[in-house]
Amino acid sequence: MKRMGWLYFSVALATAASMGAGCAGEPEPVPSSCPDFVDAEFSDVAAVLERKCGSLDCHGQAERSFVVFGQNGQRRPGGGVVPATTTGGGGGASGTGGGGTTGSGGGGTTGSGALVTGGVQTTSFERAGTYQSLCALQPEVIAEVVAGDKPPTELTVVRKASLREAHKGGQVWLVDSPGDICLQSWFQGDLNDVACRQTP
Amino acid sequence: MRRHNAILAVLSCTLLCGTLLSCRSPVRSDERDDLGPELPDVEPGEFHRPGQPCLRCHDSNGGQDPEMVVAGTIFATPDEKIPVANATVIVVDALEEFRNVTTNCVGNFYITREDWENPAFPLQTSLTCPDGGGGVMDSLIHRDGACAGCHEGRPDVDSPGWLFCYPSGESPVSADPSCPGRVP
Repeated sequence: MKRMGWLYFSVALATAASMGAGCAGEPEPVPSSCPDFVDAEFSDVAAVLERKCGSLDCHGQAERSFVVFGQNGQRRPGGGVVPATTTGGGGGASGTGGGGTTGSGGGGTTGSGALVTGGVQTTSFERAGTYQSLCALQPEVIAEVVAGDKPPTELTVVRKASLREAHKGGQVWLVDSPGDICLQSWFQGDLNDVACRQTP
Repeated sequence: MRRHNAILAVLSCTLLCGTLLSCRSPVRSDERDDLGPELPDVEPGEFHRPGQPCLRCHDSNGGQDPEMVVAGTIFATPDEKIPVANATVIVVDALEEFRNVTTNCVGNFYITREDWENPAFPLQTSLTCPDGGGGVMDSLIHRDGACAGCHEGRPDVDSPGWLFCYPSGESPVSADPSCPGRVP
């Protein structure tokens, strides 16, 4: 009988554990140790990420853990909050700027200047959003990479893009290609902007 | 003892059911349900459901024939969902293979898996409208061959709006009344 009691207890515990697993508390936030957000510098990286990762069917979706905001993907309404170290100025995201795309096939709106996909150019506020999302992916590992204790190839975002690690979206660029160098160099605090601009 | 076994069986079943339910993803079936029913006067086929994300049903998980790799609908203007027939869509894959397709009378076009077994993503697309206008899509398609997966509704923070031929003014085309399909 005592054995049956233990059996009940074990099964009940397993049931409670399986039900409670999805309700675990929020983890403690880890302070970001990313390279500082300097818009004039990060814009080179953001442009690469927008082009290569940020389409609406990939990381240009608000639901993704890594979200890339930008002109031809997910827009980020608002403009009041950017990281404290920002030097590039605030957002000014809504309702200003030039018109969208004209013609067709690329969709978009015509001349409304609205913050819609295909509309105004990517704002600083949106680049800051991409930066925050990127830096929140693996804060502990990023801190070690920024400190020089680990190579940037330890980072999942670097590994996935070059298919060093499995990636649902496939190989975004080859190992040691300009895109790979661009992203790695930014994490190392020594941006290779030429590589960024060479990324097709 | 028999009662103990019954209780154990119930607990085990609860655990098993909970585990199985937690593994079931309702996303795809919800997406299909969201598309709503067929129009009563339009038969399922190449003229049905213009403007909807075709691959929600016509991909390898959707179960509906034919399986498609890229599909969508071309409308006249950003303001009016008037179907555009005889527009040409060119899809080029990462290995520079390409396919040309032409829209039917309800504006639908599609490339089946049978016609293009394994296009290499990302894909680049361009549109040539019946009057010769059109253009190349600004961004690449990386995963979703259903055009309406991104080009849905009016332009918004997460959509460039439906695909259209004529950016401004009145539509130079009108819907074909003899078309077996229609826009709801």
